[in-house]
Amino acid sequence: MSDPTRLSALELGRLVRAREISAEEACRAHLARAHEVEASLHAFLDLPDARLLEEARAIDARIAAGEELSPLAGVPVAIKDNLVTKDQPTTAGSRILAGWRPPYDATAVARLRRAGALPFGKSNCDEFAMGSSTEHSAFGQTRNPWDPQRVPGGSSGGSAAAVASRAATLALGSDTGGSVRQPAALCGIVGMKPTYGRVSRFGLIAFASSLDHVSPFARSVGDIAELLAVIAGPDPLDSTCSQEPVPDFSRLGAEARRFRFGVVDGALGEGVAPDVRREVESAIAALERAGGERVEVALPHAEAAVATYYVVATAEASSNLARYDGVRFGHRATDPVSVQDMMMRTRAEGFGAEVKRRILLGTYVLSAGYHDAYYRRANRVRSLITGDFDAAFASCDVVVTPTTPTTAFRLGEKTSDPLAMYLSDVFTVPANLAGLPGISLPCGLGDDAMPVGIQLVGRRFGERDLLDIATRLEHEIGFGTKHAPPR
Amino acid sequence: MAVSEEEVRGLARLACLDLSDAEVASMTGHLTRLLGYVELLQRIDVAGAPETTHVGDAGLLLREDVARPGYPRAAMTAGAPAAEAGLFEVPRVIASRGAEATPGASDHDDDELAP
Repeated sequence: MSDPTRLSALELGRLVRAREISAEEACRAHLARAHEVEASLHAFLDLPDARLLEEARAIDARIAAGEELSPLAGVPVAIKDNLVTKDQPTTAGSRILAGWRPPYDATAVARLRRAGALPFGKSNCDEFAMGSSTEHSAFGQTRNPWDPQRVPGGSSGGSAAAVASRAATLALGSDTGGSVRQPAALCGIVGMKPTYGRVSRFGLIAFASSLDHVSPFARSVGDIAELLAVIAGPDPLDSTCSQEPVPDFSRLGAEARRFRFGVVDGALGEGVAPDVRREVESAIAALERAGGERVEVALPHAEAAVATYYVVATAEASSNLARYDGVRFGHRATDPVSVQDMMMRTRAEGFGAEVKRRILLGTYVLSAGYHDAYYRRANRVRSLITGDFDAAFASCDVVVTPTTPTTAFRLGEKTSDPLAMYLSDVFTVPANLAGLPGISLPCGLGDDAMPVGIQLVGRRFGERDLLDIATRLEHEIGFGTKHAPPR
Repeated sequence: MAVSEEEVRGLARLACLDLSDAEVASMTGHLTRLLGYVELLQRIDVAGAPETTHVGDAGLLLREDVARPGYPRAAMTAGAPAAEAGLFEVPRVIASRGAEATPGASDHDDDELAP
């Protein structure tokens, strides 16, 4: 029997449904691999072997009883720890939620269970998804499977490291400013942020509600399309979740077609490392071979995207994180003398430095006297950025940039300089501000033998088209057939 | 845009965060640098640009107004640090005069930075 950790999700699911391999065997193989790499990577915050094996056996029982499960039957899917899981520890990487067990599942997790997939442990992340390296987790940093001296990216670094190291076949993360696409790029896998409203946010612990997206990771475009198909679609529990029907994501790349891709003016210029530029240019040539016609597009307001993002996101975060007050869940400071004292000390003890920094910045930009100059102005610039994309899509089907300006940086390299960390999101935040779907594909290795990602951004609810073009590019590049993490 | 330590203490009160002196000093430096960067928004011509109030075209969606069962009360209070008789338990909310002059505790100064 082939090693289940080396199979694609679609292949593993096929074998499980055909009862050629049991979900339990698949689970055991992934548990063994996860424990093997955990000491060097620390991808997981919770990985309960007995419970997962029991859940895997329940999947086998459903198949034995004749239930038609989805193509992801028995496939282990690591769950970022800011997605709530019923009765299972959920911390969002924060001490303030240590010990909390949510009373319900996030919609995306519930849909995985219904589909017969196996939610596989809780993966590490920056605290409340605030970070680009997973170094801001309260429970230890995750390391990059390609080089443990480097970051896996973030904030969904545990999910990315788990999939890249074959500890899980698939993973869910959340992408607020690039938190899935950026770690996917840095770990050499595929990460996709769907259109805002495509996937329910119910049960995603809120960081910035207008920017947060539940988002999938996989090692191939075909696998990520299937994972998206399972979690997408209307949900009465999230008023921002769209009624837009979910298209059929099968037969990607099957029909001969031409398409246009727009290369963003300046996106391969100053600020992009020469090796990243080289690999992305090579991927652009592959897009042309795959049937694409190159056009040049401009996103004139994208230079303001990071500034816009850090005003809007921190404003929303300062409001969303007001709920952590020591009353309803998680940590409470000991022996409070009053409610005010309890809240002040609970939050001081429970939140890490990056979360405090963003709460303070968000409080500042929303405070009287500064609200118009920062928050309201940023929301006007946000509309301009959305308008830039609308104009670009008049001449192309997808917009192309590097996913990140550099390959994975070294542990500790940017922790003392928040702004340097924030600027690593320069290519990913515009799609969050505009609510557009974006995908990062591994396209080559940099001078340091670390993966480089190329990002394609598509039209609103244009995931089918985006995945179709990504499939053609993936086929042309063949990254997965040439490269893998060293161990 | 330089931020003073006093302003940071005011923000911390508004945000209900008890910061140490070392944290105040470090946050003051970081906030000054971050707000300095964010200043570039002031150079963008936003004339005629509407504020984004929701993402996408759909606007706010409403579901059918149908009563549905909620989560069991016991399950929702089970994760609380202190609960009793189906209620969240908290310390005394109204302090006796003089005993609890916690800064920022007033109901009416929430929108103002400390002078």
